[in-house]
Amino acid sequence: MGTSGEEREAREAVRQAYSAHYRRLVAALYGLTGDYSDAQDLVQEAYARALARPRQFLDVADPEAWLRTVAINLARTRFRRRRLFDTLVRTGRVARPPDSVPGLDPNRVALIAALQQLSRPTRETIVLHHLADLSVHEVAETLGVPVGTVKARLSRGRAMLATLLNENAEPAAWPDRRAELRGPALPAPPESPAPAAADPPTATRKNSGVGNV
Amino acid sequence: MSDPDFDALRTQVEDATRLPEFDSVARRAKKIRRRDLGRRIVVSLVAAGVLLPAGVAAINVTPSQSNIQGRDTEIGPDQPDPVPTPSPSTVPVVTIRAIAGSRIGSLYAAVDVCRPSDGSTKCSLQVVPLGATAQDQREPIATNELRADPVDSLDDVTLLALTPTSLLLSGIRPDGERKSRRINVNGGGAEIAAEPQDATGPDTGDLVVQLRRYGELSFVRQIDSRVFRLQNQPPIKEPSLVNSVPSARGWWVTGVDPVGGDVAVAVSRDLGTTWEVRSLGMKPGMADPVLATGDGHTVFVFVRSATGIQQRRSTDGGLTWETLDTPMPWPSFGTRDVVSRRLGAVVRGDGSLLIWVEEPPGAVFLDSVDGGASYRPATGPSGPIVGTLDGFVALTDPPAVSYDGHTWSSLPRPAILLPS
Repeated sequence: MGTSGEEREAREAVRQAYSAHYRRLVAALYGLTGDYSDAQDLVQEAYARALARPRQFLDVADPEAWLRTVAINLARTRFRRRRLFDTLVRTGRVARPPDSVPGLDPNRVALIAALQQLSRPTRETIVLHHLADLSVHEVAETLGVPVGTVKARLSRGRAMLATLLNENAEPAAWPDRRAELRGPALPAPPESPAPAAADPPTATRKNSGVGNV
Repeated sequence: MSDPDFDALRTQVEDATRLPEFDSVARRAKKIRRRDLGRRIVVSLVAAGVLLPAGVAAINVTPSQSNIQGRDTEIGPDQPDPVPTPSPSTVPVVTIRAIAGSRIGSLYAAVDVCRPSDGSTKCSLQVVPLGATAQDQREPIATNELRADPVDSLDDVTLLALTPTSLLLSGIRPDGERKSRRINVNGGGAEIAAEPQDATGPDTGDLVVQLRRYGELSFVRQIDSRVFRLQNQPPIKEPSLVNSVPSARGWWVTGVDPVGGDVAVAVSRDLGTTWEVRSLGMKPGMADPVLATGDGHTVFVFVRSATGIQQRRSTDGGLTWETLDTPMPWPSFGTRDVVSRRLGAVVRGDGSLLIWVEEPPGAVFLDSVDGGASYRPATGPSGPIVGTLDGFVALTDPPAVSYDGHTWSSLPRPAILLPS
């Protein structure tokens, strides 16, 4: 495949990924940065980099994971560069209120604000798990840390968020994920794991072998 | 407030986010390319400047050096933290091969996890509960299934909910034989084979299964999960059980008329006691026929042949069949190309027909709202579709579900175990 063909293929792949994942990535980056404009800018930059380096993008097995990793790296870089500026903003010496999502419920705004109070590693872990919907193992793989570290950060982060959001809140108010935090014991199946006898199951389609899905 | 609602946060942000024009991303990409090029030039000049005074033949060294630097800048944004970036050589390839379940909230996926190893690719077929959210995800209930060797190929993987506590997983091995295993939803897999026929026969709610390719039909007794050979087999050659139709709509089998050699369809509405068999007046095609029905009365059959996709329709539950010659406006490829691709079809709840051919890495869809009298290009998920009692699930990455077959929402990717 020639370069132009590769570029066309990459452009189409990026375009599809753009439609499929853009909004979800913005939501995750918004949780990470606390600034809606920044989040959109970071995600668009990630897509632009995918488009600028077609060969690399076409090789990745999981486009969304690749884009998310690039966007998070960009956020980290921006965080480092603006550390002094952000300190000035936090201490009130510079006025720059973070850009928020139009019409966002006040409770969600409070949650975003509370997230920004967490340390960056803890915030990244919470965001990847709760906003990007990654499993504990996927978060560990994405951040390059052990699973135990992810579980500890989640536990610590949730407790801190609960405190920040409501001084009277108890950790038990969270969705019960304590079993997962205890360790990788074989989990129980979902509550309704299979059809009832009087409710015969519908099978997979006959030729559901789809090695190329 | 005591319960941070991340789902609501994500939903509100996604709803409020407008998708900017893609051209703006393309313009941005151009700037990045120019910046990358500038960096490479600077690095090359610096490298040449360092090496030339040392008397080294820099002409041969500099391009290599610059290439290495170039790759570094390509890995990610400006000097990124050491976060692993997915790479084809290290990241396992995860493929959802089949999904089964009666309802959208209780689905299981057969997931192939493959990674390169010692010049070959080793795979582990795993059965994983599909959670509605990441918080509902569970680890695989079975791993390393069906393959005798991790490097073996595996084709036509199917998954079927057998009983409230078990699934039937099967696939065609390299020797062409279909291998089936019973998977316990509480963990573990076991061999499955049909016992000699039961004197009482199947009861309402029992499930018909086919454990071997073109083999005899069996039924799974729901009261004790035992599998028995069905006494009255459908009188056709090369029978192929249609798993996509709920039992309440009849037991449907496609195959070959033993007399004329044409494609035939057999249906039983009395739990396999009697079978209605009809020849469809066309020769067998390049793959098993695809049969789709929503109500058990209006039924469509599609057969891939060298001349295109042959279409048949019955509006009386399979008693009589008519030929349809409706043109299919596949958007981007011709007839010869279409028939070489896997084909599938479902009937939505509103009676419209959705048909697709696979176009890696997704699928291309047509739909018909007039019973196959006309087709139009349609949007769909980027992969084949499986029906449930309350909707549909798509074998996409990530998997997607729909209650009406028109609008789709994603599920989290299933949890997997990396093959050792």
